[in-house]
Amino acid sequence: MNHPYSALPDRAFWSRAFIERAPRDLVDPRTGPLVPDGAAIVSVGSCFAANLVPFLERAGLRYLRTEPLADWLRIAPEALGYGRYSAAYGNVYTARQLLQLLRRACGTFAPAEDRWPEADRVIDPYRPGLRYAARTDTEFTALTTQHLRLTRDAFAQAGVVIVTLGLTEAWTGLDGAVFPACPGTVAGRFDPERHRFVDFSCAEVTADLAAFVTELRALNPGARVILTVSPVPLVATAGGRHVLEATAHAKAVLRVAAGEVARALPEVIYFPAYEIVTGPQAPDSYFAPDRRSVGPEGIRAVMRTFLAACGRDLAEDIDAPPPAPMAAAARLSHAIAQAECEEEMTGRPAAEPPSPALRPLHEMNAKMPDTMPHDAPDPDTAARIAALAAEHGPLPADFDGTTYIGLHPDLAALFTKAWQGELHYLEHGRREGRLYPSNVTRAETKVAQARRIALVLDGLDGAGKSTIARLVAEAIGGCVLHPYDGNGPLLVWLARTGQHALADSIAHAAVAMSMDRVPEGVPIVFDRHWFTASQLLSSLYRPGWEPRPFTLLCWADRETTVARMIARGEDRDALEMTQDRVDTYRRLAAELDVPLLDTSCTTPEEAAAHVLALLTEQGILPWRGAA
Amino acid sequence: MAGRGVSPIVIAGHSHRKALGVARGDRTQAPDLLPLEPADPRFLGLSGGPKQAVYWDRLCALAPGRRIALAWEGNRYNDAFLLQGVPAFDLFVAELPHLPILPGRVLVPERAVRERFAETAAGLARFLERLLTRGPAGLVLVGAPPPKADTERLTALLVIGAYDAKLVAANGLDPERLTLTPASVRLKLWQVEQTVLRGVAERFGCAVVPAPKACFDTQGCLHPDYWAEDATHANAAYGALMRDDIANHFT
Repeated sequence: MNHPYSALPDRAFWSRAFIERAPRDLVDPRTGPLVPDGAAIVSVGSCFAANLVPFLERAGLRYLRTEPLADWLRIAPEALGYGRYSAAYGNVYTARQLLQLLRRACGTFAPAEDRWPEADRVIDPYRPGLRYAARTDTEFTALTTQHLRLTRDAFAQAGVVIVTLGLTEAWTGLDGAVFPACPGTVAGRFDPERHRFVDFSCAEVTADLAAFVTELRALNPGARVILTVSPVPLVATAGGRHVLEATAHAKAVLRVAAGEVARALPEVIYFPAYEIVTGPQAPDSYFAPDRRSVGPEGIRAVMRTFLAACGRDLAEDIDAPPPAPMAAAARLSHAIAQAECEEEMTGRPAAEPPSPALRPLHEMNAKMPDTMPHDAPDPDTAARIAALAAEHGPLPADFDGTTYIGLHPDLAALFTKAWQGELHYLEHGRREGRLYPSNVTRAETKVAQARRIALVLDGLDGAGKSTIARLVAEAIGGCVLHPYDGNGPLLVWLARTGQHALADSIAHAAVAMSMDRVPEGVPIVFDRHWFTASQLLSSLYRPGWEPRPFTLLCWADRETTVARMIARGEDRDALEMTQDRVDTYRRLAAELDVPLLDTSCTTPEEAAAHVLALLTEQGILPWRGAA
Repeated sequence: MAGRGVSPIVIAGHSHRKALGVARGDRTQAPDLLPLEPADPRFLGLSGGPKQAVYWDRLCALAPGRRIALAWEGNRYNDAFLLQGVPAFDLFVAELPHLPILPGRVLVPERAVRERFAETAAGLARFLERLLTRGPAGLVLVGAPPPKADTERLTALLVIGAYDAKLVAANGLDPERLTLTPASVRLKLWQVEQTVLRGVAERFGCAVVPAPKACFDTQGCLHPDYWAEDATHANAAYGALMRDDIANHFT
């Protein structure tokens, strides 16, 4: 028997309308592509409208942006999503706010309460969370005028405007101007004499939406409008009902209004995002555990359906695109400033050829992030970092997020910002025992080391320093360290081949490594230390060893030195102990103001006793520990 | 070392120090205090390369009991914006309300431009914190010279400088199409950078000696008499004025 249902497609029957719980043909196939090829998309609405944008762009659709900022100024992006939409209008929650935005952009509505001046800034009541707020009234007026002009441009140039309706409740000024957030919450002050609560009825929402479409068409006759309802529940209600009831009411009103307008006006299409996420067929996982936020799976389900209705596939990878490369003029400005600074410092005539330090483009781009500002985390992330530090202990005092990322390739592939390194270390790195490069400077390290060192003995082989060092250490309950044992030939080779920076680093590392093994409080006697490095390397590296610990140069005349070496069986080395070499050590000691301990005619015991007396005279003994 | 108030003031820091007479010094040696060039007995300059950590370590080591005049960067506005990019932009600056907005430009919030200088501000803050623990007898931040307005002369300097067509070509740019950012915009950017650095200095109780009033032209830019032969620095005559202001500050 024929009846009206006989010829209906599967999508009309609950039993046949789903494939594994996914709605089939949710958008009427007769509609054609939701977004015509090449059409510029503008989205506006609640935060759900911003979530769509990366999916649209990855699918190759053209998202129109008329008011970019951070991508070319290379600063942290605007807060609260102002930079995520086609223009910097931020979230638009109600149909009335949407209509007023369009009217303000077109100059047909001007709110009476148009700014909130504060001590150091002027707040925009309609964009109260702007990070880069104006400083003066003049600047505010100019920036707001520009913003509204660019908003108008977005509406005027759009091929498709996607509107996501979020709320029916709002706060308004006396003239009915709708604020995106209650004054006093994000910014400003709440004034019960001036600020009113309103819960728009279904008729009001319908009228506002219809007016929006009509006035948009007056500006841009060809624009298609796609209406959606955000599935995200109210964060709070001021209407006296339970928030669950208020949410159900608001979503029902918005859903009906959207449907009414879509039926009544041409080129207005309702897209059922709300139903995909909240319908009985939707898995629990579409909502995050707080049962308010839509989780990634829910958003992907919506976008898969939306893009399918556009004849496109959902991209698997929707990671944030890499930051825009530095603009050509900025690259060259940087190169010029760097060249000039180098030139100022080197005194090189300006007409000389370009410095070899000026790198080709690709190398410069690789270098640029070093000079970019530290990107701050958003407030939620900052709060998370603070909470982790409070719960598990703060970051180490010498921790640096950027170098931490650089040390771990798996992190370097994911992160670039110092705060990301800090967050990772607090969340995972400390528990995983990950290393981090300390940001303590060489000078700070040397100060800390110097406090633990009672004595440094240096001098040529055969000068007697090792025996004296042992005797002194025994007398003061200390420990003798030989930092360059095993490294000596390497340091000499590096010095002879001109690799002084590397040799200097190795010498410092050898000292630090040897000290690591000594418990705090135990006085340390070094058998070779900074003086050895200084006599090997360029004088350029000497300041890196300051502050110097108390140092004595053990010295014996050549005959005594050679005799001691031969007695040890070091005949071959003894032959290389020329008078000049012996004298060089003595001269360098005088130049560097290092006292000489002449061991030519003394026994090691006598020399040790002399050293102990000197240490007492210097106030190093009695040993008071590292403090 | 001479007693407090008698020992020469130490001038140290980044490239603008050269106008003040700080000698380059022997780069194979550690940074060291040298007489200025030309000599000015009121001052010594810390030679050496400020890109090396040892330079700043050395300044900290020398700091106890000394009076220090610190030239901290001050060229970041040129580093980012000497040449006009796309989109061309302008800004309102509260300290320079008389400067007009050029027509047809994207307006950016001053606060956003301040953010652009956050890195140099953070670097200054970190260093001041460290330096002040060393007990200098006095410390001033030396303001940077304002930008240069004469577009024709500036363009000529760019052409003859080290950053000539080869540099332009190396960066994939057409030398015929390079445009300087207008002087009024560079002046605003300079002002913002100086305001940011001043804010940091004042947070640490560090006074600022700004560019001498006599060095400004009628637009507020660097008078041509005080130009060094490059696009971004001032000359020794400027340095002489600045040294007097620094010395006056300490007396």
